[in-house]
Amino acid sequence: MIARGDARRSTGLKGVYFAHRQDLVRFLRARGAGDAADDLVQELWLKLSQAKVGPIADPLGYLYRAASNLMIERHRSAVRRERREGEYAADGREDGDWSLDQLVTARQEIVRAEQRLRALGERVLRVFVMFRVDGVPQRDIAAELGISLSAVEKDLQRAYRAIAGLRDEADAGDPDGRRL
Amino acid sequence: MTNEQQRTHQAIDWLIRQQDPAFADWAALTEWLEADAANSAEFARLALVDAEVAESVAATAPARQIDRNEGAHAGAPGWLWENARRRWAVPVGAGLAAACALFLVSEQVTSSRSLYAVVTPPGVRQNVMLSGGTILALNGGTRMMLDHSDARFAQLVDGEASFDVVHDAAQPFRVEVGAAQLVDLGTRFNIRKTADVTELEVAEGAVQYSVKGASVRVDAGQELRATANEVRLAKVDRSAVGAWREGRLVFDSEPLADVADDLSRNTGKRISVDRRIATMPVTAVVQMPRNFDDLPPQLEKLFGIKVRSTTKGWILTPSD
Repeated sequence: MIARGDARRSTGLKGVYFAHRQDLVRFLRARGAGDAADDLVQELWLKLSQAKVGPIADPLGYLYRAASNLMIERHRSAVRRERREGEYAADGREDGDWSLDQLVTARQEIVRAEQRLRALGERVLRVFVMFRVDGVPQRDIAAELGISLSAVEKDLQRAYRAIAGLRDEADAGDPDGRRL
Repeated sequence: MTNEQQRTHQAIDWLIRQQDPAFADWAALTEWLEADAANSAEFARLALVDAEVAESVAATAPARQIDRNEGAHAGAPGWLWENARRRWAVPVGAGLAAACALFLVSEQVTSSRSLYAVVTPPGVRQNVMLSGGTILALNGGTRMMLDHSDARFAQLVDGEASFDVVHDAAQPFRVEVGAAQLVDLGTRFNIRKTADVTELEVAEGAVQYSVKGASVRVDAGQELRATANEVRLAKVDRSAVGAWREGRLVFDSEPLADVADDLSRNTGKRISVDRRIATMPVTAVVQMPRNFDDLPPQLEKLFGIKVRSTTKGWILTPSD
């Protein structure tokens, strides 16, 4: 069902892009793009209009996610550039609203995040992979694994807390993490 | 709960919610990001770590059955694939599988690999012996994929490992490093892989290194250094290969920033470098002491720098 050069597709995505361009600029700014937001949204459109994709179910979501991905890549490159040029661990104040030092800089921290996730066991990992990698909605994960929706929600919370470096409160519901 | 923990919880909630294909609250997410610069920063941090972890985990997860007749794909565009260093780009948002379905299906459904990960935190080493007697010595901060169904295979994803391979001409030992394939020709060798560079040093025997149809044999006493753009061979002191296993780190004209990375991997300490000396070449042999906190004076003398200790780790600065 690939529709290349399809007039329907080009009005679909294009129409949505032009209707929401300002919202996307605002979103990019909110994600930390600063003054580059306008240029970035152009760059975004250039790439998307050249990409060969089939019909898109949620054009607006597609655009927002593409914008967010763009910011992730910018942060990744900025972090690598900082490391190559050498950085102070102390206060790395940057031109943006917040310091790059607040971003994860060391490979090691990512290795640790993955370890913390894996330490939660097979099922949490499986739920995370189905959700984050396979893009399966939570309801469907629950059905496929034969567990409740609330169990899926809890597993995802645990997974993301591990990735974020928050302490795990798996034993006995303390959902607000007051023990921390 | 502190403000910061609350903020992290909120960021997690947003990250999870926007991952759902049906999510449409982009305006509300924008407002939350705008409400406080720290919200934006925390979201950026989490999204980055999430993307990296998801990518790493995706490389080893078995492929889901993809229905090829799936209609509209909700996935975000795959221009991230163009970056040669990354095999599976993991977008924020729904449907990595939808976006990369063809790659995942063709690679993993047809291959019979049953991969598992061995991961060491920085500063912690681990030896793995495969059946047949080949020994892999993993340095700290390393991620290696092995195969339950194939004891003659390893994939170094990140970090450093030394290989002591029991030679078998009928079933050569193969190592994958990024896009490159290494085949053992009867050897002891060391591989170090970071995001930008792969370094292979051969102590004994030879290794055949192949990437993108080009192939080069690396003999004992040789080192191969591969970046995205080029591959170079150089001489190396055979006794320096894998010397980290004996507590020796050997540097030959390495930029101080890379030296700091190696020290981090071996000690688990977070080490930063003043940008004024980041490219300073270092030629030295560092003998690792029993207690890593004894290292700074040695580094100061060897490199002619000052080492500042903070709660977060060490900072290497010029000695003026």
